[in-house]
Amino acid sequence: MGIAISLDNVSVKYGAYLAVSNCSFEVEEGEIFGLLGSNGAGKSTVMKVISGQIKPTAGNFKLFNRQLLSAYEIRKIIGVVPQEYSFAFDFTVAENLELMISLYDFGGQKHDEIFDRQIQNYLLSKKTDVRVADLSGGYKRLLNFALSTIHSPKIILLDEPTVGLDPEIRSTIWETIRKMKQNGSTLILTTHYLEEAAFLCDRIAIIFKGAILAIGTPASLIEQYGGDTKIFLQLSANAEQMAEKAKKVKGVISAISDDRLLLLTCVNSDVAKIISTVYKMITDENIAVKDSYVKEGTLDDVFKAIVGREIGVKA
Amino acid sequence: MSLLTIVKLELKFISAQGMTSLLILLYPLILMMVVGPIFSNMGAKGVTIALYSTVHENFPNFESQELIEFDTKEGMINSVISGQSVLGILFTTDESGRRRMYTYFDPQKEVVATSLAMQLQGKLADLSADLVETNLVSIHGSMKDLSKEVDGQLQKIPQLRANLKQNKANLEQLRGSMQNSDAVATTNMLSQMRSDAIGMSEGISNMRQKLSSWEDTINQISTYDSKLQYYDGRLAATDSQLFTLQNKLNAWDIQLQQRIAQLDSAYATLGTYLTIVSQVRATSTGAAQTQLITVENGIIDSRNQILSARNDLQSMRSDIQNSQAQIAVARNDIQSARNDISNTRASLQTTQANARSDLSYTRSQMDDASNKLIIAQNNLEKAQANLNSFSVLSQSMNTYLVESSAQLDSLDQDISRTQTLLQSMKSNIGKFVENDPRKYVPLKLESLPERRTLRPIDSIFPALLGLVSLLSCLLLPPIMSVKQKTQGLRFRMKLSYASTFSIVIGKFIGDYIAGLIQVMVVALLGAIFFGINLSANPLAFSFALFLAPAVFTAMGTLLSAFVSNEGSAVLSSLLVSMPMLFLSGIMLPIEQIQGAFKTIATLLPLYNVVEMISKTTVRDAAYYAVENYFVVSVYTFAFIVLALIFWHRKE
Repeated sequence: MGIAISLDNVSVKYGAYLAVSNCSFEVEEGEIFGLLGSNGAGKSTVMKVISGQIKPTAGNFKLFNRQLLSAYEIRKIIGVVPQEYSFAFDFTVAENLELMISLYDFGGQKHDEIFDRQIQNYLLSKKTDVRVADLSGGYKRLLNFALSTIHSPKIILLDEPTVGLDPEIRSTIWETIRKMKQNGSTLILTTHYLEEAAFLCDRIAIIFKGAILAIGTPASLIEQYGGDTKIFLQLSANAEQMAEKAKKVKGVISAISDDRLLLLTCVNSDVAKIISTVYKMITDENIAVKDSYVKEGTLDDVFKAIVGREIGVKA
Repeated sequence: MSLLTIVKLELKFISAQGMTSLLILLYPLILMMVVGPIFSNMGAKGVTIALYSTVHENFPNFESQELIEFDTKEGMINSVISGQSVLGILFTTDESGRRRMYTYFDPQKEVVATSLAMQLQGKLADLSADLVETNLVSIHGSMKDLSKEVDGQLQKIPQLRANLKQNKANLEQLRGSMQNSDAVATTNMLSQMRSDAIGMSEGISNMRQKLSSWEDTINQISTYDSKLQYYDGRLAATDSQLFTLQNKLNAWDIQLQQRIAQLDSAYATLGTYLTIVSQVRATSTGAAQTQLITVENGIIDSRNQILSARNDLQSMRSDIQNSQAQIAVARNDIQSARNDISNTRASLQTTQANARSDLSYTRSQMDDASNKLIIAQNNLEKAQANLNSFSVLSQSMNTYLVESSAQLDSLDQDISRTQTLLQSMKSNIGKFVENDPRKYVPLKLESLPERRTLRPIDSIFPALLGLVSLLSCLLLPPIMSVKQKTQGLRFRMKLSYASTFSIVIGKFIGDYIAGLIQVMVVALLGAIFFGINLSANPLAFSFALFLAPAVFTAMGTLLSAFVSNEGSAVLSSLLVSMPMLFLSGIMLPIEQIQGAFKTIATLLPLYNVVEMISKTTVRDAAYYAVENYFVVSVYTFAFIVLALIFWHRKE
């Protein structure tokens, strides 16, 4: 697999404002790459650079190892799924699709093929004659996907694709994104939902104030920046006694009790073994575990840790 | 392909915009349907006119308008200010008695007020025509007779002046005859004669004095004779002395002749001695010889001295002989002079005697003439006295003739003035008579029959059509553009394969088609419901109809490159359209705009759009719309090019 996108010390300035600063990363073909960052962090600017909507002020930007592509060439390679709905609300799904397919100048037969393909791929077959304004949020989002991928782009940029959607539709969208990956597309995803990024992305870059602070797989980031695992146990009795015993288990960093509640903090590795050992220890004492909750390190922790470190606040 | 898609998208988008598109596209139609009926009727009727009149005669009747009379000028003006009346009229007379009519109106209602005032002026002109018919025409006839009479009198004047001239000539002749009469001539002659007699008396007196002088001169001749006698004696004495001297000189000459002979002898002797001494010296020597030489030299010197003395003497003799000759001449002269004196004395004595005789005779003659002259002078005095009485009578006659002549001159001048006056009268009456009095009727401004009568809706129609194109075509592209941007369609187009050219031109064509449909509908509504004639120049009008929405759609497409929301779209459209509305002759006549703004106004797209529609419809002057077609086409092209440039930069 080759490198689909390569940014090398790319900077973008809007007047005196530095929107992106020395941004460098590579995205492999077929990879889903996540860009995580708060509002104004520079995600959209990086997306615009990649989609050819703006040119970097400094640095090198390559698509498939080719630099200085024309806007038309970039448009052929890249499809952008914007965060906002981008279609004519008063047109039907079919009208929108047909008009957009026409803008890509495909011939008559291919036009119809593409129309059918997009309708099928994005689950819009029952909605073709529905006025877009009357569609649900999920279908609107799917239509957004359909309109952005008419020309079968090799790279698809997804800007907050599930924002504002209910979990059910969100999972549908996730499924769609995974299908895109399976079809060989390279995807760059920006999202506020860290679990979405963790679920979908092969690799994630955390961007803050225009700079990339960390890049890696979700697991490696969590391991590196996600903090310790917390195990909450509600016992029938003797929580204080059990806390003292648990402190002696390998991997347990600390154990504290409050009434019948036992809270253990342990290292992220071998969490399952630690839980098993502690559970056996409690039941051996004829104490029942009435409830339990394990909180592992998440990307949210990673994000807070990295950004908090950056702004001097502890996660 | 993508261009057509954009056109399709644009049209579909416009049609899908519901209320927005409806408002933009229907508003002009509503405007047409509202404006049409209002302005379909001709002229202003039932308009209130305020009148304040100081003239005691009936003011012309105004059909279909309401006339309210006021007692004061202020009342009339207030009626206009309050809006009760459209036009105020002050009907009065000036110091010379001439009727005057003043108007007062609200400047905003100038068109209606001026139209009414012109109608009123026409009625007054008709009134004046009636007055001329009833009064001036009969005066005109009388004046024609008068003109003939004046002409007859004028023809008599030259004969009258000729008679006068003849009388004056006769008087002058009489006066001349009197001046040349004997009495006068005699008086003058007598006067001359008296003057001559006085001159002659004076001449005689002078001659007497001269005669006395001559007598003295004659007496003086005796003195001259005595003097000549004395001179003759003196000349006789001198001649005697010269004779004595002549004798003496003869004696001296003889003596000198003798002395010269003696010197010749001595010289010869010394020559002999010299020969001897030379001979001796030739034989002697030494001291003797030396001495002899000395003697010899001495002899030579002596001889030379003798020779010199002889020459002197000879010279003296010559002088004496010359003197003698001169004395002889002098004596002859003296003798001649004495003879002349003798003759002169004899003549003088004769002359003196003759002169005395003549003088005596002349004196006796002069005495006789003087006596006769005195007698003549006395006679002349008497003649003069007789003539003086005749001269007084003559002067009186002359004065009378001069005065009579002056009176004839004065009479001639009076006749001349009368002639001038009559000629002037004739000229003025002639001018009056030559012209028909109907010509003096104040002109009534009326339209040529060829002028087509237009209803207000016909006049407004081109502006209305221009306005419809401006308002909707200018607003449609930016509004649609903003809406497309809001809905993300601009973003879609931008990321599609469609070029900026296709996007801009496609948008332009789509919006243009919408605008074109709209103006066509408005034009058809005008033709069907309000009878606007569009068939005068169908081809030219169709071309104008195609161009009108094009220029404003192009302008709107250009604006679309700059607007970001609907507010800025509307405001920017207003910013462009409002100045054009005021400068293009729709709100205010373009003729009221002055200076550079007028030039700017005539170059504005709206002005040219309205002009080309007007020329191809109501004015039926399609040929003159070519320049407007050109201006509008240039604007359309320029706006599209600029739109492409700015859209491209923005993308």
